[in-house]
Amino acid sequence: MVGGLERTEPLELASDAALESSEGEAELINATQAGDIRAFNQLVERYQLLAFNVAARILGDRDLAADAVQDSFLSAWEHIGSFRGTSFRAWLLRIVTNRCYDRLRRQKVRQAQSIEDMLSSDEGADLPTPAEGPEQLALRQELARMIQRGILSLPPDQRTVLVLCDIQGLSYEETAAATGASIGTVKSRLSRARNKLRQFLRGQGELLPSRYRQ
Amino acid sequence: MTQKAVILRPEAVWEVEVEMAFWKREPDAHHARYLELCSERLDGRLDAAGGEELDAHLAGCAACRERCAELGTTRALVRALPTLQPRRSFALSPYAVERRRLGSLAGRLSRLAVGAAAALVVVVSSSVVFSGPALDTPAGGRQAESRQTAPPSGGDVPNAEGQVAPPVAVVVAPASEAGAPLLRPLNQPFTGFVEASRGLGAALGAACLGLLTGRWLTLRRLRRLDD
Repeated sequence: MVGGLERTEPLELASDAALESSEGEAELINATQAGDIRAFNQLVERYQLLAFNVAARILGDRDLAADAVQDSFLSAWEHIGSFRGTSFRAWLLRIVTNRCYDRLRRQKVRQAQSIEDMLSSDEGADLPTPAEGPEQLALRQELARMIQRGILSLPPDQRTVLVLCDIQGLSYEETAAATGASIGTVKSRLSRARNKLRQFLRGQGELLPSRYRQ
Repeated sequence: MTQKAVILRPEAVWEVEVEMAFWKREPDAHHARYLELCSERLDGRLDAAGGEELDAHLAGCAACRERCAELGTTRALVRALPTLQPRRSFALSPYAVERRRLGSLAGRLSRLAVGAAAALVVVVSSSVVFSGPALDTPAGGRQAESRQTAPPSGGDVPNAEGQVAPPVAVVVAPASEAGAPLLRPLNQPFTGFVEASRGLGAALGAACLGLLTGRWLTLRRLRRLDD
């Protein structure tokens, strides 16, 4: 990997076996449908990191993302009775992405400032490793900010697919279920999103891996 | 050609050069298809036939080979983004759930009240339009009165003594507040509709009032909950 990124774990929750397996999930969903809020909160604990990361990457603002996620869980609690699907994760992510779209429509004006707020407070807030000097850490943080800027430059539908597939590691099928699009549409949006991001990174220069430098 | 353009419009030349640079670097629709296949291959979702087609194209297209390699790097960079940590848990408290329930209820009651008020306006307007002159207003009363004293038309023929019979198809109601009598001709064509409208209007008005009261009570509960 490039620029010290190899030590960064790509979203543990997305690849976490506990998350992938639906062990006990059906029971929790049944209990929630019977009105057990403690059971629902176990589902919240299981999925909140995933939901927050999806919302934060789509919205580019951690406060907006927190509001959207809280609203999504409340909405999920209200409508859990109508859940008939096989993937609770995809159902929940559909609620989250819809809430994010609602907020994107309302918050367009705020966004430019908020991106910087989020990036400065979140990305690479960790300390350098012994093998990594402060300068490399700064470069890594700046690279992460640049990639996030690139993600936010994408149209919302492409951004969502990129976040779900590439950052969260969802399959095409789950992404299709979470966005309400067909698998063909997901493939096409993902390809276009990656290509636009590639072009964005090409235009950035110094910080990028040598492949992107002119 | 270029020289002419420089003389006439230098910025146009710049635009053309930028565009040419763009097209040199970025794929057209034909090559874009191979980028899509590259993208699928990166996800391990490209079938054998697609793989063969892609390999055959890449063998002869250095630009697409480079783009595909960049696509792979882009994907790797995105996947390496760090996890963002939320500053709080999103577990629901009974308070949050109740607050949401009351908020939703207040919103629904508001919408219903607005709907009832709109329906009330429609009913009252249509009642006014279809009832002709308002019979229970002084003007309407006077009009009805003038109809009572006006020469008969149609079926009102003089009797054997040559007297004209008074119009019997009029009911004289108690005087209104303005002093004019409330008259309701029995042969008024929309009387039934007007009566029904009044009933419906009263029901809608009561519903509107009830919904607004319900909303007020809900908001009061919400405020108490917040306190």
